[in-house]
Amino acid sequence: MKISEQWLREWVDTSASIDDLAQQLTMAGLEVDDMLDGGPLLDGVVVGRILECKPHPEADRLKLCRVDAGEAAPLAIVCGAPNARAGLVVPVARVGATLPNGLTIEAAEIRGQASAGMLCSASELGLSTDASGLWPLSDDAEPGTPVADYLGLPDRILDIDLTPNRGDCLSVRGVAREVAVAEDVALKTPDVAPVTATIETRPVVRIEAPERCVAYAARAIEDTSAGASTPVWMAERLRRSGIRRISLPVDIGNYVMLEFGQPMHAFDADKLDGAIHVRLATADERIVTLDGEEVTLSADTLVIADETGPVAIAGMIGGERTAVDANTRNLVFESACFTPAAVAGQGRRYKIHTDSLHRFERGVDPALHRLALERATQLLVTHGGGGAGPLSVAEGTPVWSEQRRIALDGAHVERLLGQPIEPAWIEKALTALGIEIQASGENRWTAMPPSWRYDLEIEADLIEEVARVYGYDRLQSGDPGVALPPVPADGGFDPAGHVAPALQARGYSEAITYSFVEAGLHAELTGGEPAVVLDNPISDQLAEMRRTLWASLLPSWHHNARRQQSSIRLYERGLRFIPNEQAENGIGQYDTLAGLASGLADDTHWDRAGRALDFFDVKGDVEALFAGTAGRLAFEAATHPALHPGRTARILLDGTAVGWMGQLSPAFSKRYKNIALPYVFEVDYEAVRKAPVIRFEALSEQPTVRRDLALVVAEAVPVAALVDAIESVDSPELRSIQVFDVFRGEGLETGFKSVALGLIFQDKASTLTDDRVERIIDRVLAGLQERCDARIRGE
Amino acid sequence: MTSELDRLREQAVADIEAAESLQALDAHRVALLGKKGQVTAQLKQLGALAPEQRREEGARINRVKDELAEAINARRQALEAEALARRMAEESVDVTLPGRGRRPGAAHPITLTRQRIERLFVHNGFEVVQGPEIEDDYHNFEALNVPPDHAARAMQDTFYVDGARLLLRTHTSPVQVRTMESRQPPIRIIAPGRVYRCDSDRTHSPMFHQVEALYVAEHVSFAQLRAELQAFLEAFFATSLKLRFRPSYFPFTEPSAEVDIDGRSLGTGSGWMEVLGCGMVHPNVLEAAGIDSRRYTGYALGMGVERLAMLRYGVTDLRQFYDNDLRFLEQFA
Repeated sequence: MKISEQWLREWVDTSASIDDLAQQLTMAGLEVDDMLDGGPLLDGVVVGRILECKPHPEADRLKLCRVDAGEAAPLAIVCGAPNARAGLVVPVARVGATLPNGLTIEAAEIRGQASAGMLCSASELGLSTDASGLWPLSDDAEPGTPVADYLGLPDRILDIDLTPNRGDCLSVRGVAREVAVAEDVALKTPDVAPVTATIETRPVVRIEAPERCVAYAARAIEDTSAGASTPVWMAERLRRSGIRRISLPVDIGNYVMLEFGQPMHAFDADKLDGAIHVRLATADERIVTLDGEEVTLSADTLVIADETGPVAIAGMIGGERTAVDANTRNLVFESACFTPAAVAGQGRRYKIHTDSLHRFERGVDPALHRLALERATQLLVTHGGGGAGPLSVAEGTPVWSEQRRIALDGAHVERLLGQPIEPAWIEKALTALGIEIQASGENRWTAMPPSWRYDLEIEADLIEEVARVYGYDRLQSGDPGVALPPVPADGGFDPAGHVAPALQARGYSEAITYSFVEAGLHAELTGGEPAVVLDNPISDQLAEMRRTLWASLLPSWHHNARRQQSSIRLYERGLRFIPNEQAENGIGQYDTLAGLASGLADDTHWDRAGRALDFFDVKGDVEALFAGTAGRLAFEAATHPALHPGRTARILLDGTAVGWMGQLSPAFSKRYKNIALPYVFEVDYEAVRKAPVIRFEALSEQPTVRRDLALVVAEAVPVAALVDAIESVDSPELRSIQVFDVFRGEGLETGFKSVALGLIFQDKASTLTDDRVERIIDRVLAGLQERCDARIRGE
Repeated sequence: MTSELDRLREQAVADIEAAESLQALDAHRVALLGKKGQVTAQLKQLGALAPEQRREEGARINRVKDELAEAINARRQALEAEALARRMAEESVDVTLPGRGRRPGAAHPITLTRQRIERLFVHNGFEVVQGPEIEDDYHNFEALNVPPDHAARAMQDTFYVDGARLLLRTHTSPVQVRTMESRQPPIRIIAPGRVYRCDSDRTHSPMFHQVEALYVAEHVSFAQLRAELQAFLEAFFATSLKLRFRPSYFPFTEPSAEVDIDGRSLGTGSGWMEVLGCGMVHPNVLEAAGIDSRRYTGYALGMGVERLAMLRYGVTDLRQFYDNDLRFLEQFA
């Protein structure tokens, strides 16, 4: 909300500087975001009266004016404005003046006629976009007066960022109230005398939805002058508040709204058909709004209607059919109070936002409509002429069924703020805010909030008011001791805390990517599994919630790959979202860790050629995630829509699938042209967190014995099968198995490979004899033969 | 005989000095002092001499023998030292060449900042609690005293899911609600995580991170909140700070405040910098979660991790956090 300093000072008499006022408002919770200039200073531009206006002998469109600019002799000025005429009072830029647009006025000769200045439009003064003609100032303006003085410049504009609870401050009166409290001075309310009715016309108003309309006041004004212009001072205040000028009646409505906070509307009375009804729309009823938009109304929308149909969407916008225009002489002013509930959600529904709606959504003072209507009438009759009829006021259900009473206990003030506040001080602060209080005991009161404060509902609201007026910065700070809850079951530690440092040590950097991803890539990665879809994504490109972190990591990988990064390693931890009827709200949200790697296995070095990383480099990285846990990690060949079918592993922890790894499928080569596809992995983070804790095993001093076996097996037999076969002999002496060579080629049949395994034996209690080892080896070989059709190489 | 011994000694000393390898030196040692060596042979000849002469000659030969043994030893040491020096010279490397291996990656600056915030709160007895990111309206709004169509909803542009049945949480406050629903005070938690708002431009990211703290117990006061925040912010920025508590509005707290840091405290200029919002938990919020608001009070505070990360590391463009450009990320290694 923008508010002029001058206007504000009319309401509160204080010597505080504008900077101090801004500071006080900010500290009262009305954050002053910015302070703007009220307008240019206009050196050398003065009020002038056109004494004479004759056609230019040499140019059809130019006129020769003699202008009284407050000097002894009138100025001769050549002017091309269509509205120049004798008697008009306008701004005159004298020779030497520089206008806001940079133009410096010089004495000139225009088509043979001397011109000693320039008559100005509002646009030329930087005060409006209206460049249609000279800016008519009021007839009583004194020639020679600097225009800046006449307009009340310089002025400052406070731009206040109001929180939604303070609808009462969406007016000069509201902001002035806060200043008056802060400065401890009285509020100066302008005198609004009721306008005596001089005509009998009285609009008939029927409130048919009383729960939504607290009151509806209307008044007829007849024979006002059509197209009367808005006085300059009012136009200036509207401008400084950022409101566009429309016409005198509309401008007055806006002015009163800015002044008191009461939204107003003006209807052309001659276009109204009979009584005014405040009712709900019927289904599919339509209205063409002032903006020329046709809106189809839904049945829970409150409208103002005449006998023909809707003439306004209540509290939001008027209709075109009954709009005031340049010929309007008879009109009806509306000053109503609709409840916040009546207009809630309507702006979003119709995509219409107006200053009026903004105020009704936040609550308009239900005791304001008569005063505001009197004020608007007074202004219109004064500046547009005509006569007003009697007030017509219909009342619906009050906002508060009875006077709100809130109990306030000084002890609760102390409990919440952490310090006692003097009872006398509390009384003074609340009273200053317009809150009526009655003592109900020692340091206890019953408080009755004023009609404009919708936000005061409970004791804590009053305590905030006390704190606010007292000043947050004056309140104490201190900690009299903390009640600690019990330590959580897991001690508050993340048992997977080693994971991120392990990946970083292996060259991975952490990425943070959006949780919403592009549907096309997503479908390719998941094989088209159903995804959670956003109703209103920031772009169609980012409409689905990811089922896999790869869907958002790959674009980050691509971003880097296109920037000549030869080696890329990224990881991310975040949620995956999977439709799942068993889960809360039907969506499983799984803590997940994913990564990808491409490029070289190690940084390039001066003594060896760089080696492209492969499956086993990344497999080692995945194994490192589970280091420090006792789970048995296994990898089995599997297929996944995103991955190369021959380079894909399902990751198992103690037999349970916990993730995937592999190389991105060659099908993605089309998408990522000319870039080597990365290896990717994704594991369930909870699985890492919950992996069993390592159990210590006693050390043994007995020597170990190693036996190496070179086995020949069919290519299709995975090494894991050999290891399983060896372990199946269930020998307690077998401590570990190492794969130390895999060989294909010379000396082997096609379709076979040789796998060299080192078996380490140890008996923890006694020294193993060769004989015992040989017996175990015999069983091992039998098992390998039986399960894998493996034989010793060379036999 | 004497002159023969002298010649032998002279020749032997010359040979020993001239030996260029340990093998050559050892050959000399055997030739001179071995069982069949020349000096040994001399000693063996002593038996033929008269006892008087034998003692005298024996002593001379033994002196020569000792002298040669010593010379051999000295020469051995010299040769060994030379060999070691030669080996070390051969083995020397250019220590200025780059080391081998893989440069470590980096944690994301948002994570670094979040962890710093978490550690400071955990140190003060707060527990880290997580919650879902796709939320229902109840936990994200209604339970936080924001009924449907409340004007405060316009403060947060919400992403909706499934025909507005669900939404992406706009703050981590639902985690507070879920925690209060499941346990009774004292409650002392922080809720860090991703949040979403349907807004994307130079200064707004549709996804960002918050850390919220909640403390509910008997006699929790605004004064405590102020003390906690002052301590937290000073620890976070590792400097003493001038703070300003400014009245504000959040539907879920009453009184509410925004906290500004005097830019001069951080050397970033003279203006006030808004860093977080806070307040005393609204009684409606406590009651909605089943906590007796007559017995318990609480404070809540919330901060944007990006904002603190930008201040801490001097990052100026919010969007860089989500580009995940390695040239950006690796600066934090």
